Amino acid sequence: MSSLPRTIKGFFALGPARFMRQLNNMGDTKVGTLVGVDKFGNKYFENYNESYGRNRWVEFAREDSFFTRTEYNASQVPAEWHGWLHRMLQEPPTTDKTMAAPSWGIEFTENLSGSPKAYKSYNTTKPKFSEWSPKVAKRA
Amino acid sequence: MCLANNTATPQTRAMSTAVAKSYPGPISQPANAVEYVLSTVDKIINWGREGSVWPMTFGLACCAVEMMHMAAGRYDQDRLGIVFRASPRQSDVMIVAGTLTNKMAPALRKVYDQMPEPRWVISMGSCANGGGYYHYSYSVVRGCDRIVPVDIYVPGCPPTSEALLYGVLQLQKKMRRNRVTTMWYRK
Repeated sequence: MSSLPRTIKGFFALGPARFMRQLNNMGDTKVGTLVGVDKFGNKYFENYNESYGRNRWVEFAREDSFFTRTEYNASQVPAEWHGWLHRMLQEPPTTDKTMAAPSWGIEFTENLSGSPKAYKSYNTTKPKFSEWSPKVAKRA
Repeated sequence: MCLANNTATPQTRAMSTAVAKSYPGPISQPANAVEYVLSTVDKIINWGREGSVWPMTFGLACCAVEMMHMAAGRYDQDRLGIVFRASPRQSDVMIVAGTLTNKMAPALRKVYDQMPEPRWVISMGSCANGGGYYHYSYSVVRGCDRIVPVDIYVPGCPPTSEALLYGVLQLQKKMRRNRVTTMWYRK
């Protein structure tokens, strides 16, 4: 929980830049040990003095901004780090390779819905019926 | 036949010149100084819209229970400014939660028509997306997009309230892409 003493302590532990960034993105000041960084540059932290369920967190590489509208969202967390973050894995994916992406799999991307790269479904089966163009018979 | 031929040629000419004359680039990229100002105005409008999404509750089936969970303490939609309104006149978004039956379809359309512009629709669950389990039933509409235009489809049977909230976040993303005044200026 955020409180005034905690926020002041956080300011001195984090430094002004990260302090402002955390308040902007999380609404809290959290101090922890860096566990790892994923390929997008998101940083993963843990601090077991925090209450359960809040002791592992991610600080996104991208930041919410009103003017540029770059934005982070939860789908930017890769599967293996998602496993660690949500306690499917005890150890971080740097040591535990259980959820590591297989070499034959496609590369992980964030949810691209609404962007030009969004998935579009297509049909590969033969249509069961064909369209017809109506022809108007000549009036007598 | 002769009449049709005569009208066809000037029409196609007019259309081709109209297309060739003006394409100032994608709407997300301001083309001149006025558009730079207007796109910032647009962002303020979007900020206001996405900060107070008031959904019309259209709980039709079991999906509505998950929709209620989104409103409850754990996912707490109120922190995003989402407040359920029971009146279509005061709501921005319609969440179609559940199976849309033939009997309910005219009522759904009527409620949608009563909502003020701008309005959005979230289709929640397999039944609303495409009929789902009741796809082959004689009494069920095979997807609520046959009745109203849908913005966001949330898959699942039923989708978790977390999934629905993610759908709302996607809708906010869509709202953010709106360029109301820039579109007006370009027209």
